Order: sequence, then structure tokens, then C-alpha cells
Amino acid sequence: MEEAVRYVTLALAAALAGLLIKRQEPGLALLVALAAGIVILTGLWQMLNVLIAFVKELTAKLAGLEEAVAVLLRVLGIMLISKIGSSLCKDAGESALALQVELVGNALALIATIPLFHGLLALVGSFLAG
Amino acid sequence: MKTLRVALLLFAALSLGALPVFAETGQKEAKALTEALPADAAVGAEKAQGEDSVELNRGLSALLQKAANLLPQAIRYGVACGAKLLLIALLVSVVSQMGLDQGVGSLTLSAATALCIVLVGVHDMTGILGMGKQFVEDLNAFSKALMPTLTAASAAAGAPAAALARQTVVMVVSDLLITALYGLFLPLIYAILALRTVGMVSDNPLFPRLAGSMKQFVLLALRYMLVLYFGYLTVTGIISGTADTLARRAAKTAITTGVPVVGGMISEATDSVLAGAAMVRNSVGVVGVLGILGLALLPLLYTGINYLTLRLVASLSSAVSDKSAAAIDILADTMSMLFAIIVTIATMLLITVVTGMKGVGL
Repeated sequence: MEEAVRYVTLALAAALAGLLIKRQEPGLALLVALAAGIVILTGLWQMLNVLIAFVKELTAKLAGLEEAVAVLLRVLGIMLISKIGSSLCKDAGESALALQVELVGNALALIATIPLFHGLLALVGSFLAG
Repeated sequence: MKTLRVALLLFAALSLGALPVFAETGQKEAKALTEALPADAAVGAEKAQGEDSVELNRGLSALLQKAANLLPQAIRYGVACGAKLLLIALLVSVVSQMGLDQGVGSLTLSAATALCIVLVGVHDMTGILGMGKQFVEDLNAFSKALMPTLTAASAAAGAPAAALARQTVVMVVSDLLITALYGLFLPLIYAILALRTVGMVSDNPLFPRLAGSMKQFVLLALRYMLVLYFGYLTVTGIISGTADTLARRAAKTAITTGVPVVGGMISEATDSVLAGAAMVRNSVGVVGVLGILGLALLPLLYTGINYLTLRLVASLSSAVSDKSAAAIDILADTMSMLFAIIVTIATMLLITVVTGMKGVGL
């Protein structure tokens, strides 16, 4: 709970600082938001590592799940990063850039699912041939 | 007169003495048929054969016992499959909770969810689909051993035309079923799975509608196969059964009128001979029924349990992720179609064997 309070406090402080700086230096405000975001994301990354390790432990016990979960985690990671990037671009007033970041993120996430297509086709093909 | 009495007594003794001989022949036929079954499917047929008789109840008890022994294994298999799908549903719900499925992200998440769940589900289903394929192949091989034996026994029991009609249709239908399974039903099942997955990914209603039509076609095909098959057996059974009855009556009349003095007694004695042959037919029939049930037990148990598990998991995952629930429903529908195919094929052969045991007519 203390960690949650710490990150929320950091985010609120950065938001307040950004609000105060924005009128004089909009670029600096964005940097403040970016810096706070990096600190929070570092903490998030450590938490996600714990979650990912737990998920991997579960998938190790259930055979046949590794590929699908790996793809899902990759998709989750790509969508998360593109969402954060898109939000930062919107904060900077660049909505067109934000949309492009989102589109790129989704395209990459879809590309990440291609191994699943291949896996499915291979499975069905081998069964019908056999 | 004395000589005639001795001859009649001797004849009666021989006729009655033929019954144990028929019983022993019936058991030999039953044993030979049991050996045509794979070891794990022959449990019921083996237990049904006692020292001097073949009893259906003993075999059914053994099959029920086997089902009870297999049940925990089948449930564990179903639960393992369900657990994997539930884990994927939970991961997808995490993505949704983070608000990452808004706008274009919705398409990406639908695609990832559908593909993950269908891939994991099909991977697990491959074993069960393999059981279904193996069942049809084993049933085809068993029917090739069963039908000639049952036909011979039915013919000896006084129903040659009906028996021959049954054997002919079973041989033809058996091969047709293998062709239909590999050439039609299995590809259709996979096509339905693929169409519904694409429909979920693209959110286009055309694909689920096409899949729905194909599913209706599969179920109708199974229904009409059963109806036509049963109809054919009914019609040929009535026609050829009537012919067999008339032939028997004509033969008995001919013997009674044609053979002086003892013609009537000989024609009556043929009934005991036919009864003995009917014992052979019934023994063969009992082993046939138990063999078919033994072959169908494993695939039916696994498809049934997996179908129920998938429905349960779909209900549970709908609480965290609608997309996951929809994908799991696709898998459950596929399992239900496989169950229907196995039941239809087993029922067709069971009807044939039971009508063969019943004897003349249906």
C-alpha cells in the first residue's frame, strides 16, 4: 500500500509541477511529465516482472500454453508502451502523432500474433493430413 | 412300430443334444469376435462371456466399471484444458482493465484473444479428435469381422434374406462413413472453427453466419444419415423378413406333407435347431453390442467431459472477459459436433446389431 501511495504522490506532484510550469515553459512541463513517467514505469516494470514470473510458473505447469502466453504478454507490452507514448503526445498537443503512435503499436501487436496463425495452420494441416 | 419309436427317441435326443453344441459354438464365435477388438475396448465383451453363456448384463457392468475408472482421468484432462483457457481469459481481462482495448486496440485484442484461445484449445482438442478418428477406424474394422459372423448366425437361425440385406448395407455404409468423416465432417468442423475465429477477429457478422449454416448442414447430415439408414433397415427388414417367414412356413409345409409319417415331427424339430442357431446369433450380437459400446466409451467420455468443462469455463470467463467467453464457446461448439458424430456412427451400428439379434423382421 505504501508503494501505491508513493507512486500516486509522485504522479500528483509531477502533474502539479507541470501545470505551474506549462504557462511559461510548455516543453519543460512535458519533460517533467516524462521524467515522472519514467520513474513510475520503472516501478511498474518491477511489478510486471513479478507478475510475469508468476504467469510463467503457471504456464510451466500447464503444457501447450507457453507460446500463447508469450504472445499475449508481448501484445500487452506493446499496447501498454504505445498507449503511454500516445498519451504523452496528446499532452504535448500532438494528437496526429498520438494517433500514429497508437496505430504503430496496434500494427506491431497484430504482427506479434502472426506466430499464432502459423501455429494454428500447422496444427490443422498436420491433423487433416494425418 | 418299435423301430419307429426308437428312431423318434433317438431323433429327439439328438435335437436336444444339439443345443449345448450350439451354445459352445456361440461362445467360440463370441471369443473370436472379442479378439477382433482392441484390448482396451474388449473389456465388456470379455466379461460377458461366462463358462456356459454370454450375458449382456455382465458386460454392461464391466463397461460401467471401466467408465467409472476412466472418469477421473477425463475430468483431469478437461480441467487442465479449462485452466489454460481461464488463464488466457484473465490475462486478456488485465489488458482490458488497463483500458488498452479502446479504438483500434479493440481489434488487436480480439485477434490476440481469439487466436490464443483457439490455438490452445485446438492443441488440446487434437488428442480428442484423434480419439474420434481412431474410433471410426476401429469400428470399421470391427464391423468387417462382426457382420459376416452375425449374418451367418442370423441365416442359420432362419433369416437369411434379412441378414444378407443388413450385411450389405453395413459394409457399404461403413466405408462411406470413413470417407464422410475424413472428406466432409472433419474439414467442415475445422472450417467452422476458422470462420468463427475470423468472425471474432474482424467483427464481421458474415463469418459467424456462414459458420452457423455449415454447422446446421453437419447436424442435418447426421440426422438424415440416421433416418435414412434406419428407414432402409426397416423397409428391407419388413420385406426380407416377410420373405424369410414365408420361406420358413413353406419349407415346414413341404416337409410335413412331403415326408410320410414323421414329416410333422421333423418340421417341428427344425424349430429347436433354429432356436439353437438363434443362441449363436444372440451370443454374437451381445459381443457386437458390447464391442461397439467399448469402442465408443473413451471418445464419448472425453468429448462429453470436455464439452461440459468448456461451457463451464466460458461461463466463468464471461465475468472477466466477454471476448474470451465467445472464443471458448467456439471450442465448445466444435466439441459438441464431434460428440454428435461419434454418437450417430455408434448408434447406426448398434441398431444394425440389435435388429440382427431380434431375428426375422424388425
